[in-house]
Amino acid sequence: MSKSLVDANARYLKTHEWARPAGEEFVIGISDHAQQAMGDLVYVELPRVGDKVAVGERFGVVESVKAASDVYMPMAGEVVAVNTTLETAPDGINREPYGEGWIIRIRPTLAADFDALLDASTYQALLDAEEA
Amino acid sequence: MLKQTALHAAHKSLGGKMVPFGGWDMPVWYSSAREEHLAVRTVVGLFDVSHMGVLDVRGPHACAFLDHVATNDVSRLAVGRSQYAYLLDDAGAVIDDIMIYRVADERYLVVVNAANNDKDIEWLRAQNAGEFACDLRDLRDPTAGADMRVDLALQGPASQVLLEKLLPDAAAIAALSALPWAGIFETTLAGHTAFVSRTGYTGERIAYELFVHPDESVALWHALLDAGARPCGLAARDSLRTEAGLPLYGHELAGPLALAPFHIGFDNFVKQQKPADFIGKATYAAYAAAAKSRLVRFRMNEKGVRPSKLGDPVLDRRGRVVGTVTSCAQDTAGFLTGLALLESAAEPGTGFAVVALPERMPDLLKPFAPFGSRALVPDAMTVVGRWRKE
Repeated sequence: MSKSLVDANARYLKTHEWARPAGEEFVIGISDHAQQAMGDLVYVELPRVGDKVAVGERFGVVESVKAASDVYMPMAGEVVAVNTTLETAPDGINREPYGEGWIIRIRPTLAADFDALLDASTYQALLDAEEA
Repeated sequence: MLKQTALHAAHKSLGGKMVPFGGWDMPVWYSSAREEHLAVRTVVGLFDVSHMGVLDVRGPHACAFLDHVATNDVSRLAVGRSQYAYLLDDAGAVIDDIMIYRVADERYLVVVNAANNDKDIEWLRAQNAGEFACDLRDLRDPTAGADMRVDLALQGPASQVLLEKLLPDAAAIAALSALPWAGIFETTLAGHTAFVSRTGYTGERIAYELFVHPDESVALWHALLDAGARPCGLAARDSLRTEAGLPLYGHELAGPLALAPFHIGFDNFVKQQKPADFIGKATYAAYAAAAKSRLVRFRMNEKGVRPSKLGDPVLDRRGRVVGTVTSCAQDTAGFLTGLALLESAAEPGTGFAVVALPERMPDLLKPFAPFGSRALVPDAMTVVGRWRKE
């Protein structure tokens, strides 16, 4: 695998989901490392707008032809937008995991959940250990 | 402990994502399985298939021996040609699918599946007792010395032009351009002694397999990359062969569905009428006459649906299970294409549905199911021609 990218403005779960502030809300997706490990994605299962999801709860599934992986909530909140373009073009996550490949946007129950996540440098150190 | 090919370090340095396959640590892809698939269809891709078994069968009775253990008519195989065949057991079940290359009057190379290599050798040695007494050697075993050979596959429309650059002289270039499908000849490639055959497992017709000494496979690999080949992993190999409609042992042959050549449209590689008697002949014929289920190739009607896999059910319009998926992968156009065993043959254009079973089964629908709960949705597919059109 090529060296994976880390978005400095996002914070991370050990399971490779990220959250990034967008005004009062947060955008959530999976990291570059996660998409590289999965390979070309062919299917994404999304939650619905209005779903309330707890920290650590499974909110979706990403699948490549070779693997399927649950996606977990880095922060508690209510889903306010889902990236429906992924339903027909799941490879958006492969192209830009921190950009067009975002998965959901949430209104957080507690914005301080964000501070409990791994910051970019800690997550990078975790990847360095994994990819070494 | 996983085995490694001589190219293992080369795969790691190219960024290959390594996975276990048939007891070997092999690259599943380097950058993108999809781009690697497209490279083979449009330009040229290079696969390390040196995990596959390469056997050498020599001796005055080599032809008679192979005719006895293999289903194709080895007596009709000319020097410089190859044929696809099966090893059957006494019960007529498939032990493995193999390629037989006749490289000299009394010398054949036999290429077998990686996962079946040891089983096949043991079976062949047991049959080789008595009158045949062939010299039967494993060409990946160091005891084969200078005769050791491993397989690299160079596949795709630009593979001939690329290979020409590595040939020693005009005579070799002429031999390559005259090489028919399934032909084989010995030459040098970038200075390395090699058998070059026009065969493969991708559905491409301009496609070659290169048999070289493992010590020279690394240098040849780099020479082929330098000449413009794109390294391709097992995922592209699988999606290309699935799209082409070719069987994989364990999925479309033998495996949980106990599939045989007659199920999958490959019955013509079992030569019931050939002069030689062969192991499994009578039992195979009885088994073939009784079977009604047939393999079809299908394509999902929409993109972005969940990929199915070996074991997923195929439904008719009324929700009745009429088949089982055996393989599924993304095709050249980006649709999921697969192979499925149906209870009886179906014409191209026939519609069915596939239920891609997730690892975790959702709650079944029940009255007053809470909003937000999920059920399985069958995805529509259409039977397409058994073979990919070029």
